Amino acid sequence: MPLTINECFYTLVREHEIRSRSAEWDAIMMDPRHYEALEAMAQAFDCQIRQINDGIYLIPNEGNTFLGFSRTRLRETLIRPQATLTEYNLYMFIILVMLSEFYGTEYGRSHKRDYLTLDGLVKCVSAALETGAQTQQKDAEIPYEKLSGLYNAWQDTIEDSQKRTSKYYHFNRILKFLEKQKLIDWLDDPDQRQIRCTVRLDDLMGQYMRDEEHHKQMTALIKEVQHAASE
Amino acid sequence: MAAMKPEAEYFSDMPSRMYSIALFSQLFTQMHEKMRTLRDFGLETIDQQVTFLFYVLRFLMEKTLRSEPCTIEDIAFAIQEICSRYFRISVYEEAMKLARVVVDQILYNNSEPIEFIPYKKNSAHNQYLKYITSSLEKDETGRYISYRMSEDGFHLMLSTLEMEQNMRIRIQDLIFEMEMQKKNYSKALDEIRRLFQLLRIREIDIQEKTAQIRSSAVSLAPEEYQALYQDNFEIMDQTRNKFAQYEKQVEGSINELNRRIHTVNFSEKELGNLSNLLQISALLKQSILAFTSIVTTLNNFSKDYQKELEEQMLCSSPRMYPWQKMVMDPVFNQPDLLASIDSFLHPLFFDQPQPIFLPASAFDFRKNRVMEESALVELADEQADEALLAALKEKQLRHKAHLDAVLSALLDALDQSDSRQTTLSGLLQSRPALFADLDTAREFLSAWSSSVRIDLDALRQDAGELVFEDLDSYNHLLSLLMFMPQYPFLEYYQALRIDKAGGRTQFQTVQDDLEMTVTADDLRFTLEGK
Repeated sequence: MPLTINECFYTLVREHEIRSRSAEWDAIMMDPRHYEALEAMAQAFDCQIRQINDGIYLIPNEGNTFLGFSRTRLRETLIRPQATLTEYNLYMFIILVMLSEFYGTEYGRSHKRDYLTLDGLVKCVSAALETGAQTQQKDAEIPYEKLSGLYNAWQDTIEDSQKRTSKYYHFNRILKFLEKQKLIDWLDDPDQRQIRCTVRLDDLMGQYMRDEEHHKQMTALIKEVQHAASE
Repeated sequence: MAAMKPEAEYFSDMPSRMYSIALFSQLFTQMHEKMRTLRDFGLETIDQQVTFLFYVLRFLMEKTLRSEPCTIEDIAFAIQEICSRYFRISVYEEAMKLARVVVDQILYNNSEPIEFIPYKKNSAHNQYLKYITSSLEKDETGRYISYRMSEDGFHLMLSTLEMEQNMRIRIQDLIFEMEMQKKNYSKALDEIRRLFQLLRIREIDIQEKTAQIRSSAVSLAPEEYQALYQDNFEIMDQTRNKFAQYEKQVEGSINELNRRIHTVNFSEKELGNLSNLLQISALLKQSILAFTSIVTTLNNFSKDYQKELEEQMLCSSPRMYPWQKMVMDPVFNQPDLLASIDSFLHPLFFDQPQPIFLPASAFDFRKNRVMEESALVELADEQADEALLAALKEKQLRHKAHLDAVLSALLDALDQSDSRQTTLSGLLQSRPALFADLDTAREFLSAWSSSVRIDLDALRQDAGELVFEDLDSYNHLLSLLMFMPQYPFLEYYQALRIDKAGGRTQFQTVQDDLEMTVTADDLRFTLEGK
């Protein structure tokens, strides 16, 4: 008995994706109408369905705070309760720099490197903070100087991993979060601390995050922030 | 002699040579940076270092061809072997370190793409290389990283044998045919082994190209595609047919030898031939399978390529926006974007849905309870049950307090007595209402009369190891321990002895609001000095 579309959708809500060579995949691909039915269901949940390479992905629409994160919830989950907005911004910046290290090129393959070491990422963030400090507009509420100030206050020690003032503590916090979101594999092996992208991240970044619609959204976001700054 | 023109025709093949040049040049550049480190390991000259590097590459190539996982430990082990056998140096304890230097830093460049930029202003000839690649594998024991040789690595290794791939397959094929005709089967076996290896390289090559196509069809130029597809398809198709014929011939020879095996003059040599032929036959069969798989891969590849191209034709505008321009530049420009960038990253993250409303609980199974008195059925009310539980708990606490009060009275009496001795009857005389109820009396007496001698010192020492929990049952030793700080005089005594005082005693107590008189054995409590 092939699975019903309802069952497939339940898997999507639970796992957020369906991979090829699974009973769910076969059931959906059996008939184009099945795929349409799934799309309709996703729409009712304020989500989208995308098939990218060997995966079918459920993607929450912007503003969907039932399955996706609201800004408050994301802040609660990602950073410590008593942390400042500067720390939140820095966390976001680190995530962007990491994504940029993997996908920030037009170089042929889906990602430009197989892995990134923790040391490598720490260095990249330092460099990117400097780039930001040189190119930023003057009217920012939290300028790059503030971000670098906080970043440099974190100590470089790795031994005392629980220390909340160490870089390791904060990076580990971010990477653990991303791993839980099934976007990366974080190998916290003292010999070789490595970050590796999952197929899920490859697919989403490769096709979804860089498509035209998403580009429009980014442009709108930039305008919004600029508008707020000029007021 | 006429001066050579710079645009001489013989330079025109330079672009096509650029890739191989880049392969060698970048390998040596990478190695050059680690020269001193390698020297520290005992590889003194550049010649040794280069040779050593190729030994490691050859090992990786073998592992990849066999589709076996290859961890850093495997590589370290191989390096140990290579070093001691060919370079006469022992790196036993440092092998792992050396493996990391060679694999992660030299060959892999920490997974940063290795760039080769031959001209200052013409980026069209830039090469991006990656000799090896790795993936995260999972098994029962956990996660590990497996290394394999990538396409560029294979090209590097093949170019050390100075031959084009297609040529090699043809030549190898020819040699095999010749050896078969000469009936030199052991040689033929070697040749077909080599041929089979080449086929595996080809298969991996095509698989990688297919993966590349999936990510972006434009990255593969149409000419490249044409070449890859047609050359491969032709040669594979031809060779497959040829191999099928060989297979028939070999079968024939095997059959003939099999028929003669029982005849008298079956020589040792013929027996050797038979075993060689059997192996050749097996390899031929495997090769035919490999051909089929390559042809299928090629077909898939062609389909993928066409599909991707079609899709890309549909989109008139460029489909992928470079991340740098789209996201990073604006963020560098305006750091306040970071506060709202989550709406852009939104599709990547999933929240755990909040427990707000669970319709399923409406259909939950609920316990019904039959009332004892009325035999009425009612829904088990969990709130009422909880109240009952709380009441029960309170009763227990009260019971404990009663017991503690008795102990406190006993210790008071001991404190006031000069002989540090008291009896139950004496206690009851001064306090007729010693026991608040029958249960208290019963539990207190049974607990204390069961002990003969309580070592106070030992009890104090054990105190550190005791875990105080919200215990439901009464423990007289624990209670005694709790009281110790309140009765400092106990410190001067070694033990508390309990024995029968002889005779019986009576006391009044309450049970279920009824006064009653209880008779019990009299007990004597004596403190023993140190």
